Amino acid sequence: MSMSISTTSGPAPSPLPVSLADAYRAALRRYEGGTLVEILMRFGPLPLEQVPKPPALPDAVKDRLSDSRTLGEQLASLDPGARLALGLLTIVDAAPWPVIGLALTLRLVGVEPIGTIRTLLERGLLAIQRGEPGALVGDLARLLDGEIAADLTLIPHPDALSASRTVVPEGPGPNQCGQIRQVREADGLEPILRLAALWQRVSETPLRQTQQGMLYKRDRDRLEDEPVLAGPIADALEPLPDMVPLWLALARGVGLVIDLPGTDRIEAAPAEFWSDNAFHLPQMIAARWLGLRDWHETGGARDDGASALLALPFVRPAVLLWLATLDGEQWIALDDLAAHLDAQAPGWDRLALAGVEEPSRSRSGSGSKGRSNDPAPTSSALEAILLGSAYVLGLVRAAEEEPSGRQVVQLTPLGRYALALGPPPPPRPSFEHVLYVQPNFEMIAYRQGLTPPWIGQFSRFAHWEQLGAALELKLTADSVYRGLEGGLTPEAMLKRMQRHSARPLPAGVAEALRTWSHRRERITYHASATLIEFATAEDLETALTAWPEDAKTRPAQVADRLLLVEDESAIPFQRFRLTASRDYRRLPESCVTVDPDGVTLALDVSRSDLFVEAELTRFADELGFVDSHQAASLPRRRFQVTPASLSKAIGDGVSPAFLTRWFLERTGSEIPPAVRLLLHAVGPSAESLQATRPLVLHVPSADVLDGLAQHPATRDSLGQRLGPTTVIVPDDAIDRLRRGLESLGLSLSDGSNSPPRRPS
Amino acid sequence: MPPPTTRIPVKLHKNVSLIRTAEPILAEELLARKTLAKLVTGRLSDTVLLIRPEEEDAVLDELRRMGHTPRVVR
Repeated sequence: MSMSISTTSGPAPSPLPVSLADAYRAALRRYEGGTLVEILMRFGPLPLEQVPKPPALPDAVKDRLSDSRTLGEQLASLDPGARLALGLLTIVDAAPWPVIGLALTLRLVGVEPIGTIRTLLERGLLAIQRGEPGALVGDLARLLDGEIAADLTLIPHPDALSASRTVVPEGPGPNQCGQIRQVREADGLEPILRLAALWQRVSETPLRQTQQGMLYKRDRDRLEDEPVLAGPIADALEPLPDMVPLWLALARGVGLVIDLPGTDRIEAAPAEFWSDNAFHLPQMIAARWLGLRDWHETGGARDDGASALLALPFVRPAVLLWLATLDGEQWIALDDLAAHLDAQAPGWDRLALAGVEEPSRSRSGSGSKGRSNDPAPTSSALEAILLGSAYVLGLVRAAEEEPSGRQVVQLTPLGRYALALGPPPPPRPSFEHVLYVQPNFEMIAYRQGLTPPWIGQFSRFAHWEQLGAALELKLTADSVYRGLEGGLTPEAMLKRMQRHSARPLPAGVAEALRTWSHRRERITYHASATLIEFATAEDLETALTAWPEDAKTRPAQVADRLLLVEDESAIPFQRFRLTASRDYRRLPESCVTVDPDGVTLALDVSRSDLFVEAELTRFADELGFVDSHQAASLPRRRFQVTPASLSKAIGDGVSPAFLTRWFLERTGSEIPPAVRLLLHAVGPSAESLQATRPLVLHVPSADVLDGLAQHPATRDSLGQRLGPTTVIVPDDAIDRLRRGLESLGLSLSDGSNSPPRRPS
Repeated sequence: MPPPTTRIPVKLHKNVSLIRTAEPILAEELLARKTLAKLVTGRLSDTVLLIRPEEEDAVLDELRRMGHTPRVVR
């Protein structure tokens, strides 16, 4: 029956958003007081009056265990199984641990899980928490009775983790093999090369993720289409499914790509990552792989949004620990190891520990998808882990047993080191001249001679084009640009290529590299420059002349009165009097006043910024400097909005909406009527204005006019009232008004010299 | 006794985003690109263009689309 990962149920412990110590303390805060007191009492007798108050109990437990003596006593009292459990948590640094996950791992290494976990909980070496918000932890023993709830997770005490060491399983292990042949061991460079290629792609275009933490389809497709990320691995004994999520998870785990806080972006780490970490990268990747829970060897990445708890991630450390029981010359057959695991924990190779409900759905990408919920053939799950990822990571080597032909494996020195059971692995054999640089800017890298630090060095300025038995890089303008951005100089890049090239560099390569570098120097983007503005050009000259010779950086003159300083700490402030300071990360200030004429604008230089000056010059003409009354201070600047300046602004794309916003923002008030008038004048719908002489009726009192406005004989003959005793009479209504007035016994004089006519 | 040195009055502009070009004609070329010109708030000199900080990504993207590889100073 075909099944897949449900998106509906099951726990999905996410990485801790806080430090381990804080998470441990937070888990204890959800314990009932009596449970905490019981833990505290285990550290030694405590008089009742010295028992802390309930709110202080979590800190008391944590602090007591941080005491090396108390911790040492607790660790010394543990049986081997509990010590093995703590050691597991140390090598797989991926708290919180689901209880059912740890239980599976412990069963597989022959340790009874429930009693062991209970022991560690009772001593406070582990803290347990329930997924249900607000759920309290009471009786620890009862929590683990019967079927273990899927939402229970464990957080180790940080000092207990530091003090624990790896313990290998006791008891009879799998059978050892006899003669072997055809030993194969991966060079361990594949994950480093893939992560380097991923780092370059993310450097070029950062990734974006949804609120659920999934990549946007566009970004996911972009990465899936990259053969250097999703293409098959040349030296793999077993294919790895769904490789892009695997590399991305490992890159995030080791810090090569970073989730930018407060944003949806995933960005590449600074280039310094390579110089700081390349040497230890194989071990770092191995550690992240051991704790990788969103991806498994038989099915690839967990479906987007799924919350199922995959099983194989908890099998990985157990399998490696069994291999660690052998000495350096011994081998184990996969068949025997699978049978041994079956005996320890039947069904260990099932797809998930919780959350599997729905039939499979196919996913895009490489590798096998849509795995069955039924146990896969045991050897295939083991092959996927050991001959797939563990082999590619360089943790195991493989061979064939003679004469049976069975696959056998053993740990490599890197594998032992990842389990903290051996010394650091010896450095890879390498040779200096690993590059063949061609005139077309392609570089072939000989894989056999490469080392992780050299991969890092080349990744900084050359683009990985092909990964396989042969490695191909290419120098491009963008890759050189990335190198320059990462702090390399053209000479440093050339020097690295010359040092590692088997032949002299083609002449065109050096020339192209310098040309690309020079092109970069032609345009500089200053993201947060500091500018010093002087009142006059003469002041700037004086300041430049007197600039300290020993200053770390010299300023650059960028305008008549402006100096650019890349390092603000290099400014000799003792020679300047700071009249104003503006920070452009803050909101713009209101710094312009409008004169009563509505078109003259005065700029308050002490509060203004460069934006407002640039904005003003777009729609107003500068009237020149007006000397300030205060000596030795910046002069005031005045601007005037004219029909010509406004007309030019409209032509340049300045809109009335922009001006409305600008006046509100910069003057704190509405756009002045005079400017609105000019906008109307220069606008496309400007009409000629009409001038007329209206006929005005004057009456002796407001009462009379009120009466005329109300009486039906006259009210329709009046126009707009101008005042208490005056009203406009429309030209075509004068005769009608006269007749109306006559009907009321009044007469109308039209203002001429003719005497008023009296009604008959 | 030497006269006290007069301190020069200055105004400080912090965290300014701007583009500097090696030659004026390069600034002209950038301003001739409509999409980029829209992102330029002002021109401080022949070779210096003023940018709003929030437009950084858009400006850099556009410069790269034009084939430039600007040096970014943070």
